[in-house]
Amino acid sequence: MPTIVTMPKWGLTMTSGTITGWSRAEGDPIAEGAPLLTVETEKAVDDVEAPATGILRKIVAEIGSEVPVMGAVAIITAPDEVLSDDDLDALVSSTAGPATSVGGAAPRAAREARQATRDSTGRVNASPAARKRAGELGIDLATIDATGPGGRVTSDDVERAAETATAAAAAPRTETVPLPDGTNIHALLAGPADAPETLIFLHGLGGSQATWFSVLGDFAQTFRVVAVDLPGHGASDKPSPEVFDYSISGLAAAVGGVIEALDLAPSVLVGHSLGGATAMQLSFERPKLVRALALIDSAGLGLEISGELLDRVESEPSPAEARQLMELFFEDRRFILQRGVDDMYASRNAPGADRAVKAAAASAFERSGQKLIFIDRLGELEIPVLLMWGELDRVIPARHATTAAAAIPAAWMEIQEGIGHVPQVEAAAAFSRVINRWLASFPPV
Amino acid sequence: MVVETATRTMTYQQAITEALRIAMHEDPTVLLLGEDIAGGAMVDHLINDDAWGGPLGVTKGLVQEFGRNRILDTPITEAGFIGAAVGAATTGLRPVAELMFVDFFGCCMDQIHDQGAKFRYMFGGKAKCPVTIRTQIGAGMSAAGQHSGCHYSVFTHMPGIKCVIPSTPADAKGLLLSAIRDDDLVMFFENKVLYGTKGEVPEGNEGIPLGVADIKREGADVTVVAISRMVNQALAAAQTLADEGIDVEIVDPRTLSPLDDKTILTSVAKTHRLVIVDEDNPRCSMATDIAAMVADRGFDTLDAPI
Amino acid sequence: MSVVETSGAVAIDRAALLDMYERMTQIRVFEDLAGKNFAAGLVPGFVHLYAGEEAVAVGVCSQLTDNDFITSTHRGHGHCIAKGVDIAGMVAELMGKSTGICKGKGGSMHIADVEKGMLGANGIVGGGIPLACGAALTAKTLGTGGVAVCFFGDGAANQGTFHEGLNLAAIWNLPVVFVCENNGYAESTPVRYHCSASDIANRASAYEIPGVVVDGLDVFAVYEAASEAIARARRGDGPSLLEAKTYRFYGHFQGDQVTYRTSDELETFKKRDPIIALRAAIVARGLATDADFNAIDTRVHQLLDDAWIAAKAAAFPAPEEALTDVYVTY
Repeated sequence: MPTIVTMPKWGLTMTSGTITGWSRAEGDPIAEGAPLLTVETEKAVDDVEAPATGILRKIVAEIGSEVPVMGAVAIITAPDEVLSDDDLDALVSSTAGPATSVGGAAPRAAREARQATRDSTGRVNASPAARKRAGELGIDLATIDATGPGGRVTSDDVERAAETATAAAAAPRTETVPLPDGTNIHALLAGPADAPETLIFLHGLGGSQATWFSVLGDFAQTFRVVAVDLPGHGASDKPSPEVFDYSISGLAAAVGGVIEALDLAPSVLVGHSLGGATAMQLSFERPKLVRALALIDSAGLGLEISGELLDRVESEPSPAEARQLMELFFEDRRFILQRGVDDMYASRNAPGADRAVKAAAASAFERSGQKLIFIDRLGELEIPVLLMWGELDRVIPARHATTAAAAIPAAWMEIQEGIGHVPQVEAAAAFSRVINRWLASFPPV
Repeated sequence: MVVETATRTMTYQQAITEALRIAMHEDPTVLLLGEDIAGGAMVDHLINDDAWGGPLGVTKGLVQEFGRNRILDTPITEAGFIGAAVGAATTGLRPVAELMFVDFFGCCMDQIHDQGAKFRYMFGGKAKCPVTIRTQIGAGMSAAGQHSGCHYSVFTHMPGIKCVIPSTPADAKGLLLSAIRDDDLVMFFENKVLYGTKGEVPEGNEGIPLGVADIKREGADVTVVAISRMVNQALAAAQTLADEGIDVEIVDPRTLSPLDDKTILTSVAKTHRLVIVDEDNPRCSMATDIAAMVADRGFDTLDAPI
Repeated sequence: MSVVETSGAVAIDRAALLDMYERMTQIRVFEDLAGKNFAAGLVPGFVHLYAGEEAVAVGVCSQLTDNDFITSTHRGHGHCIAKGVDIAGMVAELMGKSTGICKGKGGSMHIADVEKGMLGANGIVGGGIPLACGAALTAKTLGTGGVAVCFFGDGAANQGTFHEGLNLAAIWNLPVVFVCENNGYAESTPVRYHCSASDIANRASAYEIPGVVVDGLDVFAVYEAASEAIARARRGDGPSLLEAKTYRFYGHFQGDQVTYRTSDELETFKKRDPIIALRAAIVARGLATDADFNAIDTRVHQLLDDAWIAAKAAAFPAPEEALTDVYVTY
């Protein structure tokens, strides 16, 4: 069986990707899991792993070509498999659109949807199958557009309406949440409203919800996901440090406000770096809001903090500073895109952003190390805790994970080899895998 | 292990003749009787030869092979010889009678539905009636009012009668072998217009089980249950509709009693639409029976009137 | 010599004579009790009684074996008993009980026992005639040496199957003996109205087979004529038609008010009761005493009484039995 390699979907909004490199040539052997090509999108660049072991029989999309998500980029065959050019073309075209029907009928012109007709008693004109399915799904027949003859609702119409309703509920959207003090907090929401878990993602110092870009799409298939811009960051308000408390405690209070306003308790908090410390603070102060903690290269678990980070934060924003910060974060330099550098510089330059970030940094860190360390209180945590770290993190060392794991009753530790401070970007697939496995390890609410 | 069975191209008529020949070789109690199935009985120069071999030649050549004691020409006496076949079946033979045209059932129906079909039940399961009655159905040969009917729904009405109705040469052979081997009275409906149609027919003596429908074409949009010659019409229509984007699934029941209602219901559950193509008279027919069955047991799967 | 000579050359020995007497008595007692218990509401459905015609069934069937077949009529109890079908099973069958010879599914009109060569009483007048041809075809094809005897009434002589069957048996030279039991009435219609022939046996000539009229109340006459016809069939010389002129002591069916015949007519025939006649003939020749006959009568009554007691105690078939022993799906 030939295997078709397709353009992956990274993130919620990715519709296409550009191929920037092939690590194999046609005819080369390839093993499942080995990097096969590199794809760049507006927001990320990453390797695409080979989905099967075999021979790279054909490269469909050359370097520089932009391919829609799920479009074919290559074909891998078994070593002894013989395929003609026609076979290959047929395979490629088979991925071009939705699956064709068994009998090979030509695409049928869709019947125009219209409002369902009713009889003199007001009963909606619906087929028996549609009536039954609508009952099962709890959908009001009157709300469904009909494509059947004479304005009859068909079972397909019901399924379509159900899918639309589900998709609408799960579609990504932004919310602006006003806190009691008037500060507006920006959050990105996605995933089904009736999902078994709500995951709240908290970024690190100087970041924004965009740091989760590569992984939110995956989680939103199953979970309700909420990515918050902390106060002073991203699109949230950036009040003056004179009127707003940018300490870890103040940030945690803001997050608690968001959880209450959106009625999300109890949630799984996924916190990165300073966001991790914020998540821990909230779970100590208001344990009812938090049912599990995922701490990613987190602050608050040991003394060390990169001096270079503090240098960069304390300096005046410039493109060069931004690039140096990126170089501190990432081990794989391919992740340092000019666009990313530009974005970071722009966000630091946003009105009020620089002073907010400086205030948050000064409140949490000093030259001698981190100010707020929870290590002595970790034994109090009765909820599941995940500790994930990039092995080569140069901002906060990975050994903090080991120390913390020993102190936490229900800890799960994962070290990502060869990865720096931001595993959710540098090792997005592994990040998702670990979180999903960890979530499956404890019973749902 | 999948055993590949060799096939040959032959006509519907040749497939039936082949099944009769196989059945007569494998079981010495199988004999054929009917009007002019050899023809020319007691004509000196046709002692071991046939004049007709059946009105359309389906049994041609068999008298040379099996003799006139097993290829038994009858007078034109439908009640007499159909009844004799039933009586012989109840006492140890396995006759295959030919009712030349189904339209003649009125001349012999008592022997079929009141005698043969009921013995096993009325006698408390202590009798069997392994008789097969082959008969020709169908319009299309300009044979007018008394030689063109289908009437299989008359027989599906009766308990104790199995009704078999092949649409292809391969089905004709396999189903006739199973019909002859069956211990109940079986009506075997041959569509006279199909006799010349060709198809691949497996070698060997494998029967096709009664009561198993065949999906002649898979499709997603609408189920067409087609019977006998209507299977070919439906296949042609499906091709036309495919060009218009309508993907038709064609279910050939192959036997009407037993009816493979499960396959029909499964198909309708997939396509949500049902069309029945039946050459028989429409009132109280297989078409209305299948429609009623699906309305009864598959109502909630339907997206359109049947 | 301990035999009764019939009017022809056939002689019947004492044991066979007493056996015939016992069979005829079994039929008579069976029918009398069937009528009585039908009136008592113990027998469902329609019941047609054979009393009066015993000489025909016994005169013919006493010369048959289990290798021979008979087809019968709606008035079939006598044929069954004469062919050796289990009487207790028949009584239970009449009552529709699960212990019946057909599990209670046949009842009076469809009692059958294929293993005994009894192919069933038959609710269709003339329905058995083609079947007998088929049974004879089996005997001929398989070379079993068996014959098929086809009992039917005067009413059936006007059905198409009578003519089709006689013709088919004649042209195929089948070992069939057609036995027309002419009891004078087809249901309520006298034979002189419904049949063009003064003797139904005359119709044999149309098919160029032997046709013989016998006194159906005289078991010796029936025996002799049947003997010749059966022998002819066994020899492979083809079918014959016997017409036994007989009389039924009951109506067409139980409940028949029998307004179509006079009490004088009935009394005339009852004076010629075939069982009394046989007993008298045996006694006249000194082959048995009243004590012998009384012993037989007692045995028969005991047999039937026991059969009714057992049948009354037996269970009806389970409802689900209605859908077994038949191909049917709904």
